[in-house]
Amino acid sequence: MSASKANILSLWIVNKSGGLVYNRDFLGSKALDTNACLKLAGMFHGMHAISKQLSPNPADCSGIEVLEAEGFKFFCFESASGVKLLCSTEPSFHNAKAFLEGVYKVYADVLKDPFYVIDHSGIGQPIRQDRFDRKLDQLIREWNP
Amino acid sequence: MPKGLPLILDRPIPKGKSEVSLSAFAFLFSAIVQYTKSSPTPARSLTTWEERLHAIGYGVGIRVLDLIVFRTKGVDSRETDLIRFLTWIQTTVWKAMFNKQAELKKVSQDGGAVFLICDPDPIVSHYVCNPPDYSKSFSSEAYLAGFLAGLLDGAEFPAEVTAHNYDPDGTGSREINCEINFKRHVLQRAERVAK
Repeated sequence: MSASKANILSLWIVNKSGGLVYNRDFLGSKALDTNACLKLAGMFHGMHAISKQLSPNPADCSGIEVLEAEGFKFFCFESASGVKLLCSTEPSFHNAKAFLEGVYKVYADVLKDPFYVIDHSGIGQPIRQDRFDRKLDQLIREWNP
Repeated sequence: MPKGLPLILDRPIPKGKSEVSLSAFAFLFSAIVQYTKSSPTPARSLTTWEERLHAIGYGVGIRVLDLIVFRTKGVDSRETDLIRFLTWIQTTVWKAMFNKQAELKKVSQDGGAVFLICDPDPIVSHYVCNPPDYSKSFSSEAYLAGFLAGLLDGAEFPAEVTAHNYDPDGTGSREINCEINFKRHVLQRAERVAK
């Protein structure tokens, strides 16, 4: 539970081939349109891969985890299956890893839906589930008081 | 016969509850729903798809009947009373399968009484989110309806069971009503026995 007024601004979920599967803005701020989000997600996916190779110890590197800028912070959590959960937060926010792990748990429930199709290469379609949105609403209320 | 290994027939039948992880079952059910859509031939209509789910549930119901009767204390003879059997389903069977109770309602109609088993939030389809174009016409709870049909058939109360989503206010309620239409001879027999 975050004590300060630090807020989580947006959430992106990128599948293992770099395609954007879900994006959501939590504060009603000026949202980027979907195409822009798709391109940015793909670019981040590429940068994340590059960052792993730039490391002096590439086998032991988990890629970009935090990206700090002047107006915001950007966190990335890569799951064991290659799905990346990204969120942008206020600059004063410390560590969004716990939040992203909570999102990961909710995401795992999406996979139990027979109508959420995953094709042979393990790539999922965009998430369009009421249930997922509702569970996220519940989760975000804990983090954005 | 290898020595030292206990024969499965010599082992006692496990009594008591065994719980299964909901996630494990959810993945299995999701696979069942996808399988019934495309195998052995692609289902050409939502009704066919529901019938296949119904058939799978039927197989479960027939087998589970004996197991639950065996595990219920105080049952030493076959239940012949219709209402008591339905009450037993609503309480004991639902408790053994889903750890909660369902509701039993009776609706009188011209052709005879119709019974409803109502479950406000069925566990089997907890994670299934129907896409908007399917939501009014397809319900994966056909599996539950088949389960009930199997139970009733096995106990010699053959009936047609269908599952309907009960959402009168459009609030997205997931309540399922399983409508049980007993065959005519069952209802007549129940009347004769009651006299």
